[in-house]
Amino acid sequence: MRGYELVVGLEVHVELKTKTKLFCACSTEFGLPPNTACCPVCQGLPGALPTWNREAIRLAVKAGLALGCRIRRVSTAARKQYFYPDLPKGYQISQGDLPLCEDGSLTVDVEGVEKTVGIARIHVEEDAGKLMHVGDKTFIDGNRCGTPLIEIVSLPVLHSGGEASAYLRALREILVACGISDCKMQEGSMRCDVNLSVRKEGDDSLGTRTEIKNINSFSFVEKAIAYEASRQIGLLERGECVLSQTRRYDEKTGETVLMRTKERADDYRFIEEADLPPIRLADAQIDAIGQEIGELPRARRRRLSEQFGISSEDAAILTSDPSLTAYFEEAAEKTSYPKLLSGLVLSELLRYCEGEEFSSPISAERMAELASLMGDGVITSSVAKKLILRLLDVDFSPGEIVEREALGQIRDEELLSGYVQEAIAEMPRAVEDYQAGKAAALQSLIGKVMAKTKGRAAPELTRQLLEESLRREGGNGDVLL
Amino acid sequence: MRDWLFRTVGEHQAAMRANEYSSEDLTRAFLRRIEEKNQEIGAYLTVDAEGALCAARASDARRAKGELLSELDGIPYAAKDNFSTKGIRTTCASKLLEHFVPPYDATVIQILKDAGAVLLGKLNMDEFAMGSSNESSAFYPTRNPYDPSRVAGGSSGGSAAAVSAGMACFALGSDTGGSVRQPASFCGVVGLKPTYGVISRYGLISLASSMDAVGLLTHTAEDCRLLLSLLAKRDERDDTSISLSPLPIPKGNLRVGLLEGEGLASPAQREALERAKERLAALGATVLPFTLPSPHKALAAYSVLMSSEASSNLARFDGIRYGSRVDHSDGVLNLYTDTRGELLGKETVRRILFGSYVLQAEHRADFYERARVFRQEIRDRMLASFAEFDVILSPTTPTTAFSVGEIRTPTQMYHADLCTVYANLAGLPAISLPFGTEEGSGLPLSIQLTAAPHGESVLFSVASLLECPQSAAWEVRV
Amino acid sequence: MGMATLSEQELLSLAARCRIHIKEENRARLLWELEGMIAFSSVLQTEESEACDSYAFSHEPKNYGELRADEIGESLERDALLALAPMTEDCYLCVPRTLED
Repeated sequence: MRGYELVVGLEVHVELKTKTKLFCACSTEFGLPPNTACCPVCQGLPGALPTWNREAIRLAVKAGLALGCRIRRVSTAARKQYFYPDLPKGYQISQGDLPLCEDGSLTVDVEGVEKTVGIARIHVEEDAGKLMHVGDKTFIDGNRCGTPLIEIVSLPVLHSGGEASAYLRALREILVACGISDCKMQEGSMRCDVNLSVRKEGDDSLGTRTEIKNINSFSFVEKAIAYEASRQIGLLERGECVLSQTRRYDEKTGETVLMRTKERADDYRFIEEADLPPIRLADAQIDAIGQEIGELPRARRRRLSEQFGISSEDAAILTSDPSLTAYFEEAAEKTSYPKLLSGLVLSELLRYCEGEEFSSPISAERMAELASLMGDGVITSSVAKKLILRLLDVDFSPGEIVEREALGQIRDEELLSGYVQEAIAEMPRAVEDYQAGKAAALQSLIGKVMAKTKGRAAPELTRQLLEESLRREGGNGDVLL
Repeated sequence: MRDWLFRTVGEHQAAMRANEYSSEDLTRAFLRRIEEKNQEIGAYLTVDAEGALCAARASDARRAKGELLSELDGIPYAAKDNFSTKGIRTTCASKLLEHFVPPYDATVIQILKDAGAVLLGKLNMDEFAMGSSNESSAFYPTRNPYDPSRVAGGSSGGSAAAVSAGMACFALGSDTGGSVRQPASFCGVVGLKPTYGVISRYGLISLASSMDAVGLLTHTAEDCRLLLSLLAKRDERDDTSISLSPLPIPKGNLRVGLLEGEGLASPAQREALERAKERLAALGATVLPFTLPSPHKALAAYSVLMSSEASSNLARFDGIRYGSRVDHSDGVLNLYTDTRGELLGKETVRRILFGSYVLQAEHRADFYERARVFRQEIRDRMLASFAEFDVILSPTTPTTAFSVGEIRTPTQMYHADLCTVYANLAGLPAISLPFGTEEGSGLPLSIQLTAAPHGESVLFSVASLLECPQSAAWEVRV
Repeated sequence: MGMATLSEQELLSLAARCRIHIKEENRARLLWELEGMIAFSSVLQTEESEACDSYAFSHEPKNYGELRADEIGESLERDALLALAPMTEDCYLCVPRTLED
């Protein structure tokens, strides 16, 4: 960018999918009425003490393993001290020198190029409450206080908004696949802080960095990076200094803005969390957690592509939902035409599946049957589509129905020729257009034949017959495509 | 038999079993006593007469049916005002919590409730447990029952004075650097600080989390032992709590380390120490000299660590979710600073500021980090000492109770903690036992025994060897 | 390390960080007292400690298997929580306007 290089590191906060909070047994359910999931511990009442949540640690370790980290056998909690009305104890219990996970990495595809992004550390910490500013008052809801988070800190090795959002997408994919979080940015279960500095291309030293906090969508991350990089470069080009600041992204203006809160401490005065013992993890326990991980999305995509010969784009969609993947794999085992199957599922079935998680009204077996019928040349894709529609309402064996209702492809040349001649006679305009050189006009003629045959005309043969017919009738045979 | 206001738990149970009096009778007697004496002594901040009588009657009903819950059923006691008591005001002797009524009971309060004990009320203390004289209570000081012109000690001054003056059979206190043992010493009662973690801290308002211990103030070591057996339990609400695995009583000759050093004891305290040493030697104990490792560094490390932890633990007192607040409509920042500035006492403010200073980026290596490392060294060295000794015999405090208002600098106060802080830095159990009175002043003298972790059993055993007189009979002055 | 001195500016900045307002008339005394505490604690810097790198844990580590199970327990009744607070409105706790992030 204008002779400058961006240096970006991301700190991603992710809410863990536990039933209870990190340090107490209050519920973490989303959307509860305000201040109804609070107790002496999470509200910092005098004398209340925190207790570790085993499930939160399990999920954090699982995330660490899925991201290739080293897991610490003994890790400690630390207090990060600052004052803010959403922080009941006046400190956040987090981890300092001895976090749970360190030195991992994530391989990411950025516009077809592979990039490995180093992950410095992953640690657990508790979330703060929610504030609402109305008029001259601020209202506090303590429900979110104490919700378990992991903070995933990348190395500053990203160099563009595109790389950043690719990294975030890959991160989310793994965390969702492993059941660690639902990573819904709009609900706040995944938040991103960006650390950004710029330097002249070829320069080794790092410029002063700014922090942009709490960005809650991938596209805003890209925009914030673009704006901030531009802002910093602008300053440097004018001979001014970049100040080390904490900023936020303003969605309306698309700019980053200095955060006005002076109430944040600049020195967190970390201190050992003496109300909690360190956690000791045994090798066997870590291994057991690792066993639960299974195939990661990237590996699964590759395998699907190789095993079934489907494109990486299609593989990406099929692996975007674990239920969809399972469905596809079940069906793929039952047909010799997985590629056709994937096409059917992606373009015809998905649109009829409602709900956030994939679930199909048509069984995998039936879809496999359809793919096979198509692959064997028994039915056209047009008929397949119609059968899918019918299968949405009632289950039946496609093979049987095709036979019973004579839905098979029409390959009889004589019969087809009849339809072809009818279509030509009924659509003089299309014929004219085609003969004038508009190749696309052929489609409407094919469509006409299809309509007449209720989708059963063998498409290639129909095309062939039409072309032959029109050439004979037409002009000098020059067809401009 | 002693006046019933000064009897032990066992003596009360025997008397109640023999129908000499009921728990209600006894409770009323204590309540009357509190009414008579609290003006002068200032041991109590809150008295819950209704609740106490209700509990006493329930106990009597159980006794009539032969369904006593425990050895403590029907026994009246009181708790330092930093124990969270549901429905009963809990102030930590601070204006900031003057009207705070907790919605939950501390674990130890719950255990005692389930055991049938009768809670009389909440006891005075140094504000937020910071201090050694009970003069920094925001409400009024607690005075020594032996001589009201003198302090009761601190920070559990109210607890020690209440037991000493016959205003409760036993009391709960908290000990972070000597805050149970020192007032016990000044007031002539037994004060136990158990091994760190064996009594749950859930509901004890924290001063320094890594050193705070629930402490017991009683008339006899036997009463301490009884209470401990009930209260020493792992608590799932306190992740730092551990099970007590009592050390075996040493077979053969007891090995005693007698503390030596400059300025550790006044002549009178030294004399009490000598008497104790001789009695043990006469019983066959080997007594050898023992020196505290690096006393000045230990006190400094204690000061740094205690202040830094306290400053962090007190950050939650901001007037937002509970407690009092100084009202300001011009921004939440002023809300914080004015609430804390006006409602926190001087000692508390000093410790918070110092505690924050030692954690600041530019100072933490020189103060906080070094204190932590040095603490580890002390711990290691004290534990190593217990390979050589079964118990350490020392003064509890250098002097007997000093006068109210006697001007003392913060550092003078710290020196007085010298003999007690090691037990907190290293998590060791230690007990202060009354051991006679000072000639002339009549003030109580004491000795302290310290043992290895889980060595409460050793402490009680040695205490019985010493045949310590029951807490010096202040009641003769009644 | 020489005699530690704390400037008034440092005191005020420390007090601000701790969110405690110090009245003008108390500053000098507090400064003196804090300097005393700092000087007293400076003895920690006099020798090199042998075990400078040791992480001094205050507690024995707890085994992962013994940590609290993820089961929902009792929360406080909202009314009980709000009853403790000096200022509430509807079902929220209230403070004067905080600067927005």
